[in-house]
Amino acid sequence: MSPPERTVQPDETLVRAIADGDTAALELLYGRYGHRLSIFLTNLLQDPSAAEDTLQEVMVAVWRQAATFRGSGSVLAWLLSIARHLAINKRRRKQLSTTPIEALDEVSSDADIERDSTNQEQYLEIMRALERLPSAQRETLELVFFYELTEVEVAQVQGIAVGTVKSRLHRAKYTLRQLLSLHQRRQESGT
Amino acid sequence: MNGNQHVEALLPRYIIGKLSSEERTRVEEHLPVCSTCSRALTEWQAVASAVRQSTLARSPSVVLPPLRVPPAGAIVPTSNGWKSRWVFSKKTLLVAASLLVIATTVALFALYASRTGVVLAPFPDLDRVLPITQDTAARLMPLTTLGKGEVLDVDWSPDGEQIAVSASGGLYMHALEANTEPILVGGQNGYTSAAAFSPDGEYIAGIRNNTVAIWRTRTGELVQRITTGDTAVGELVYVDADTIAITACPEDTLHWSLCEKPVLRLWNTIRNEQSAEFTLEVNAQGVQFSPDGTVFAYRTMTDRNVTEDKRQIIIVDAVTGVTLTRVQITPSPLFFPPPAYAFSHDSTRFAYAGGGSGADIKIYTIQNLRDTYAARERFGFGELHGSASDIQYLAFAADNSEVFAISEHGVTTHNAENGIATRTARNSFGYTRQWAFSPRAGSIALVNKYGQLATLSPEDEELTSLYPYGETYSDIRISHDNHLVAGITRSSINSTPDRLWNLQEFPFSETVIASDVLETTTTHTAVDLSFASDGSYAFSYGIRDTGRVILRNLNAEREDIALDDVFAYNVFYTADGNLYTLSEVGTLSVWEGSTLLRKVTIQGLQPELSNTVTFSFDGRYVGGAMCLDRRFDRDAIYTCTDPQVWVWSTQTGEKVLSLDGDTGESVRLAFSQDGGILAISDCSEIDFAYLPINRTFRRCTSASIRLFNLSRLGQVDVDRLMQPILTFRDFAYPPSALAFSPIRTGDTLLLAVSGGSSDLASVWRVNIADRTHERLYTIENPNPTPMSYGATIAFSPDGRLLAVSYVAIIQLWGVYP
Repeated sequence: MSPPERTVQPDETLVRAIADGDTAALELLYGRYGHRLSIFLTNLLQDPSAAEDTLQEVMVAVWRQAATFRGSGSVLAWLLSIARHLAINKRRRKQLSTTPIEALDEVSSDADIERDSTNQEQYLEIMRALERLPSAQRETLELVFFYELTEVEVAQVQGIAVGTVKSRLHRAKYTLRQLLSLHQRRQESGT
Repeated sequence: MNGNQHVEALLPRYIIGKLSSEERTRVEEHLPVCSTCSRALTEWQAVASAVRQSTLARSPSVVLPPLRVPPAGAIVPTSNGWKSRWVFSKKTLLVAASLLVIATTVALFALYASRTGVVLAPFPDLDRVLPITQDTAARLMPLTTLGKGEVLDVDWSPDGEQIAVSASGGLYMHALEANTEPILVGGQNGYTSAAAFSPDGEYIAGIRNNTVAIWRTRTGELVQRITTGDTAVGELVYVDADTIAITACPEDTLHWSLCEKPVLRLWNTIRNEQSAEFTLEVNAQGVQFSPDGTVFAYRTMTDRNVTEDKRQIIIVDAVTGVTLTRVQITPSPLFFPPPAYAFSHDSTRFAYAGGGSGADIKIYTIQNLRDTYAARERFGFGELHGSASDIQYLAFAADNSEVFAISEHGVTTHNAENGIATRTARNSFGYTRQWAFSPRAGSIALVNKYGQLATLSPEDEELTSLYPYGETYSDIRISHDNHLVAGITRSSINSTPDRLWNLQEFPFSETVIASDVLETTTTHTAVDLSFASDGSYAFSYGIRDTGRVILRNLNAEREDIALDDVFAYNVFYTADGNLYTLSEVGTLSVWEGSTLLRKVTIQGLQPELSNTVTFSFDGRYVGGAMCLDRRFDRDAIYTCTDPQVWVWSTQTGEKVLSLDGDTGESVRLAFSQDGGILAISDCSEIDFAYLPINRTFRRCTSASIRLFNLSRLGQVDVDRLMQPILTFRDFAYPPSALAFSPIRTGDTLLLAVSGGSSDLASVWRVNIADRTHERLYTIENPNPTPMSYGATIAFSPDGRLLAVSYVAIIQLWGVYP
């Protein structure tokens, strides 16, 4: 019996095959990561249609740049860094009306929380707490816990120092703890 | 080793499993002795969980658009010239393009994963959709999908904690512990005809569009797609961690859904290549491998299409390809389930029963089969409860000491050494459609005759019902405000659940109609439902004496009104708000609210025995397609020798129109909105096809839609055969449903047609003045098969929604600006 993780056709092999012009490998890589890239791009661009276009551009870039993949990080980190780069370019070009990522760094007012009294409050509250994080922190959290990248890979994707990734993580956890415990207190006091 | 040094900095990577083994050891040694770090771990885990949930929830779509990739073989990529090329087949492309359209146009994106990871159907922006007309029909697009479909296969995860269900709506995963909504694997709907866990549980495989797809169980990520090039891929089992076995029908060997030269392929999933191929008997089904992968068994189809001497269970050495034995199955004149068989978990024994084989369960030892190619050790288990041939499935207990025999009466446990029945868990769940036994969970997952997924332990007396799956709908109703959609089944009036979706709620609420007024949700569910223009609706349920018609208004929160002593096979609200109820013997009652206005007997109409009964929109007419004389030949092949379509006046109960069929039979009727045009879908000529196994097969060689002008009714002799004003024969089979759009432009009508070919549905422009017709739009079949199967179609009363169903899925289509 084989070990549970497949060792044949790892991501790096696929990228090498893509570099050799293997479209099936590109398709397979797309099947493997397209979903996550799509989520990443949509969250980044706040525009599903633009995200789809960008996803295709990412795969075009992968097709063209596969030979340049050096394997210093994971393939997913490489894909995400391409996706992030293209998304930011697209946003600049299109001057999207949505709020730029950097501008979200201020924490929104508590009024948003006050309105929440539906049966999905706990779930929504977690989401809101995350929404209220500075976007750079939230993105870092997502890259680690959703896309399962290491701090080094996150640094590669975001183009920042590893130390910055670590400090963002800890700041994010601290802020979330504050927000969620605030919510818990409100729950317990019935407000 | 640094056991006292805090490890908080390592915890994020610990949670995502990205630590080196040294780091991991350090963390795991440190955590039990450090409350600071263990508290930090708890916090990080909460953060991680919240991040995963919120990231999924914020993602508007998990439908992956098709990949535009360079043409195969291209070495040097260029930016021009290939963007319009696609690697996918045209058919896949069309389906994918439809999905792409959903992803880009639906205003509130729907596929989002909630706390439990449930992927929901897209939320359609119904306020924006345009009327469907001859000008806009070409721009139809799918808006949303209702229902999870009908179960086609089930499998347990090896740890006994999850059940995978492949259904017409997709591959779903049920977590038993969590008792939550099933998760749609991979986030994409799609007709999935088989489900199999890898032995380690890491992967789940399914068959979609004759391609094997393998997903990572934990994440739903698609890791492999296997295309064998066969015309049809039937069954799928894992043989070992890296090998699957599939039954396939190679190109040009499929005839009318029967495979002439089926093969069993062993396929290495890592290298994505075939490792062995075995030729099987015609109509091979039910492939099972011994757990060690050295032997497999299958059976030939046992229905009347297979000659008696070909009804066998065949056991094959999977290493040499040698057939170890053939077990002849005794034919039975009555319906009987296929034979049941199972390998023991230690791969030493093989048990079989049923299939008309008498009262016994017989057990072979595999070694004996290998030694002698014949069974030496076999013994009967004696008389079991119920009829001798009703054992549907067998399974060995985890320790191989017992054999479970499942029949429609329950599960009987036998001692595997002496055959003595030790206990019986009797259940009235009826016959089982699909099942799987988990030695780990000690439980049987089954789909009962009501389409419910349930689990049953051999010790239990009751089924644990997990989830109701659907049935094939024969009618769809949409409320006047487009808020409610009902799926009506008619295949069996006392067992199949009919469903009602509320599109105003997100996620869509789905209820079994009449479940709240019945003692059980499984029997006597709705027979028919009709929406009134004021937001209320009427539904009928039950059978005859126990049946009722209920009037219900959701918006006004009014109490239900039950029409006493009325069972209706059909209920129908006319535009003026009167309710027509039609009993099974043709008594038509007209109601205003709960007040009976009048009763009239429709001469010669028996809805229960008719192929279809349809009211005109204004309620003036009711039409029925019937067979007045039917014959069965020696092979029990059915022929209708006197097909008729009659139309009656609901005022007088008199027949106003009588249309003889030819040699075939009419399937469906549809009236235009003004009652002026009647469309009939029928089979006008029947022939017998000859199958490779020397049996005949009844088929329709000339299917058509005929249109009649009813405006001269009353001016011509009702018994005179009216000539259709238009006949179109663009179909291979009689379309299974017809619907006129309520929007009519002069002499031009829009007719929606369900089935009739390998397409799911089509929309036609019909001009009754110049007697022309033209196909405006085709809806592709998500699971193209050579045979047509029951599907239905309906327009919403405002003509802005088109609802199409296939195998318990309802898809809403519309046109956005």
